[in-house]
Amino acid sequence: MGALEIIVIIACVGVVVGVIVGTIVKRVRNKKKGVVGCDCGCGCGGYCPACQKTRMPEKKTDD
Amino acid sequence: MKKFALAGNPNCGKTTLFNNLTGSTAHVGNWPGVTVDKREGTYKKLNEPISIVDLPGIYSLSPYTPEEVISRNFILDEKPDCVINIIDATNLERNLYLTTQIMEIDVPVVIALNMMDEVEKNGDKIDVDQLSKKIGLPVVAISALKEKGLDELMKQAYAASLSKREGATVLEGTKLMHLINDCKIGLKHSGVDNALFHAVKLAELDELEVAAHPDSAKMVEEFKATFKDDVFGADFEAIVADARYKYISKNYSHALTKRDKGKDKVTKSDKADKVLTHRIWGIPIFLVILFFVFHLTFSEDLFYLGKMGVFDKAEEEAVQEEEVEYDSAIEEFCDGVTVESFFGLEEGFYSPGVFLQSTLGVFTDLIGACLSQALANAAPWVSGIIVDGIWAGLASVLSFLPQILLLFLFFSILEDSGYMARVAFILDRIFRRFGLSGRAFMPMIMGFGCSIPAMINTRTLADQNERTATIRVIPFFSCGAKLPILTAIAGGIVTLLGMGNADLITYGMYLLGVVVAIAAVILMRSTTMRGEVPPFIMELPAYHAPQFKNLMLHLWDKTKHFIKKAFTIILASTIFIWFVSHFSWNWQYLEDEQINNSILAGIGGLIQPLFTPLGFGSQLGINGWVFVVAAVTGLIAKENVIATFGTLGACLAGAVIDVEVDGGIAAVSAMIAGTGIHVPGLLAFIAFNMLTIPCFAAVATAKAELPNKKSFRMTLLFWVVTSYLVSCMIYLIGTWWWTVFIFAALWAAAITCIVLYNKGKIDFNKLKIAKKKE
Repeated sequence: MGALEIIVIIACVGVVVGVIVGTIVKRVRNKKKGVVGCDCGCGCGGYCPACQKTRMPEKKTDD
Repeated sequence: MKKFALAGNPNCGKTTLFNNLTGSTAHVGNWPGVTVDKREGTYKKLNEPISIVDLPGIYSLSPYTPEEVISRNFILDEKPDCVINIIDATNLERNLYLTTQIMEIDVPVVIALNMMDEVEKNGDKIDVDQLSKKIGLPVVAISALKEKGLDELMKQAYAASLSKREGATVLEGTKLMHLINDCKIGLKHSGVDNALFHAVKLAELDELEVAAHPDSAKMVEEFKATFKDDVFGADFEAIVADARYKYISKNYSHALTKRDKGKDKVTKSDKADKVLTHRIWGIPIFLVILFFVFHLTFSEDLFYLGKMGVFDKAEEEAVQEEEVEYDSAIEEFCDGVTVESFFGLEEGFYSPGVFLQSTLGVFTDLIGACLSQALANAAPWVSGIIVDGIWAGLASVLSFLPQILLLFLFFSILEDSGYMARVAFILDRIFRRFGLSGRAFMPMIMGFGCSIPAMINTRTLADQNERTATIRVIPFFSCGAKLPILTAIAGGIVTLLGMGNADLITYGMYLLGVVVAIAAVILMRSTTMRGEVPPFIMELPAYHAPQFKNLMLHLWDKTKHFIKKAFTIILASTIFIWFVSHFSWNWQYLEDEQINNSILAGIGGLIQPLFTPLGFGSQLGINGWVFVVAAVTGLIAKENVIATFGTLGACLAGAVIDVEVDGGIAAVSAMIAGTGIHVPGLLAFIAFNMLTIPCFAAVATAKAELPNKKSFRMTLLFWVVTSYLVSCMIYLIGTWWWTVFIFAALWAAAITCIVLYNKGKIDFNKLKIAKKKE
C-alpha cells in the first residue's frame, strides 16, 4: 500500500470519526447547558435561536 | 460585566440596534414577533465591555404572552444595570405605554427614540429635550437602521448605570394611588424588590402578583368590593391603562409636532396596501409574486423566450458534435465549456439562478477534471473515493448553493420590505376558516428557510392546540435543505425526460407542501386539536426599502452554514455512502459495475418493498435501491439526499449507463436512466422527502417545543403517515389517472364523517360500546 492510499484512509476515517465525535460532544455540552436544538448544523443562517447561548428548554406540562 | 437590556414594542428596531451594537447577525424581519427569546451580545466601544441582551418585543409588562413573561422576568429577576427602552418615534404615544411601566421598576432607564430619520422624512418633529424633561429620563434620538446616535445612546446608558434609580409612576393623582401606596408599603415591609412595580400590578390584580403576594391581593379585593368607577366599574386594569394613556397624551405628546398633511393624508404605504392587501386580488398577487421568484431562480428559459421561438435560429445553427478522443480530463473539460454552458442560449436564456448555478458548475467540473487527472495513476479505489465519492457528492450539493441563496435573497427582500406581514394579514381570513390565525403564517413562512427557528417562533401563538398543529405542518414548507432535492429532480425530469419546466415543477411542489399543510391543519383542528382561534391583531409595518447590509449578512450566514454543513456532515456521509456501496458483506472491494452486491445495496434492497406503493420501490429493478437509500440518508440532513445521488450517480454513470455526472441534476439524470423510474415515481419521491420526518435537528426542536412526549410521538407518526399517503396518492394518480376518482370518493367520505362527527351525528363512543356488546 502506497503513501497516498494510507493518507486517504487516515483522512477519511478522521473525517467520519471527527464528525461523529464532534456532534456527540456538542450535543452533550448543549444538554448540560440546557441548550436545545442544533449548534448550528441546520443551515438556518445564524438566526436560529437554538444556537443562542441563552435558549433554555421550556417547561413540560406532563411526562 | 455590566448588563444592559433592550426592551420595546414589537418591530421597533431592537434587533437591528442589537446587531449594530454587538456586531451580531441575529435575524431581523420587518414584522412584529421575529424575536421570541432573549439573546446576548457584547458592546466593546466603552471603557469596559457591556453585555447587551435583546428581549422579545412586548406591548406591556402584563404576562399575557410567553414573550412578555420572558421580558418581564428578565428585567425584574436578572436586574440589568440599565434598560434601554427603544421607542418607535413614528408611533410615540403607543410606545410610551410600555415606558410608563418600565419606569416603575427600580432600574436605570434610558429611552432610545428610534426611527428618527422616518419622523424627519414624514416632516414631523420631536422635541427630545422637552420629552426627556417631562419623562424624567435621558432620551437619545437614534436611527438603528442608519447607525446614527448609537454611541451617544451607549454613553448615556453607561452614565445612567453608574447610579441607582428608584421607580416612579405616572399614576399619581389617580383614584387608585392610595391603594397602590398601601400595597407598596406592605411589599416594602416584606422586603420585596421593585415594590412600586409590584404594587401597581397588584392593584391591576395581575395573576402572577396575586399568586406571589396573596395577603396584599386580599387587601386589593377588599378595596375593589367597595370601589366603583363611573366608566370602568371595578376593572382596575382598565382604569390603570386609561390613566397611563391619559397621562401620555397630556404630558408627552406635546413634544411631537406633526406636519399638517392636508389632503395628502394617504401615505405611499396606504396606496400600496390598497392593491396588495385587496380582499380579492391580494392572494392572486401573492401567488404571482411567488411564481416570479421561482421563475427567476429556477427557469432555464427566462420569460419563456425559447418557447416563444426567439432562439429558434440559434437552434438551427447548432452544429452536430462529433465524438472526439481526449488525452486528459482537463482537455475534455476545456473543450466542453462554451457560452451555452453559462447562458443556455440554445433553447432559452437562463434565469439568474440557473446562470449562477451553471457558472459554479463550470468551476466544480474543472476541479473534478483536475482531480481525475491528478489521480489517473493512483489505485482505482483511491480515485473512486475522491472523485466519484467525495467530490461528486459535495459538488452535487454545492451546485445548488447559488439558487438557494437567490431564493432566500428574494424572500428576504419580501420580508424586509414589509410585504410578508401583509400576506399574514390577507391570509388570516382564509386561515381562520381552517382554525388558524394569520399569526401562524409567520412561522410557516420562516419554515421556507429552516424548520428550527420556525418551530420556535410558534411561541407567539397563544393556543396550545394551534401551536402543536402549526409545528406539525412547518416541515411541509420546504426548507432550504430540501430545495436541492426539488431542483435536482425537476431538472432531471426536464433534462432526461424532456417534460415541463423546472421552475413550474419546483413551484408546484412548493405549493403542494402548502396545500398538504392546510389540509392537515383542517383535519387536526376539526378533530383532535379543536380550539378557539384567537383574534389576530398585528400592526402592519410601513413599507421600506430592504437594507443591503441586512440582506448580505443573511446571505453570508446561509453560505457559511451551508459550507460548514457540506464539509462536515455531508462530507462524512459521502465517505460512508461510498464505503458501504463499494464493499461487500465479506469486506471485498467492489468496482462500480458491482455495487449491486454492496452492503448498501443489501440494506436498501431489504426496505425497498416498503416504497413500492410510492413508485420508487421494488418496481425499479436491480438499481432501484438507490432511491430508498437516498431517502433514508436524508433523515440526517436533507442535503444528504443529493449528496447520495451524487456519489451513487457517479458509480452508475459509465458503469451501468452512459451518462456523465457533473452536478446534482446530472446525478439525478444518471439515477433516472439507471433505474428507469417514471415521472409519477419521481414526484412521489420529492413529496415523500418534503413531507416526511425532517432532519435530526428539526426533530430535536419539535421535541423541545411540543408540550409532552405523547404529542411528540404522535407528531413523528403524523409525518410518516402523511408523507406515505400523499406520495402514494401522487404515484397512483400519476400512473393510473382514473384512481383520482377513488381518492376523491375517499376524501369525500372522510370529510362527510368529520362533518357528521362535529355535528354530533356520529358518536364513536357509542359505536365502540355497540361493538363490545356484539
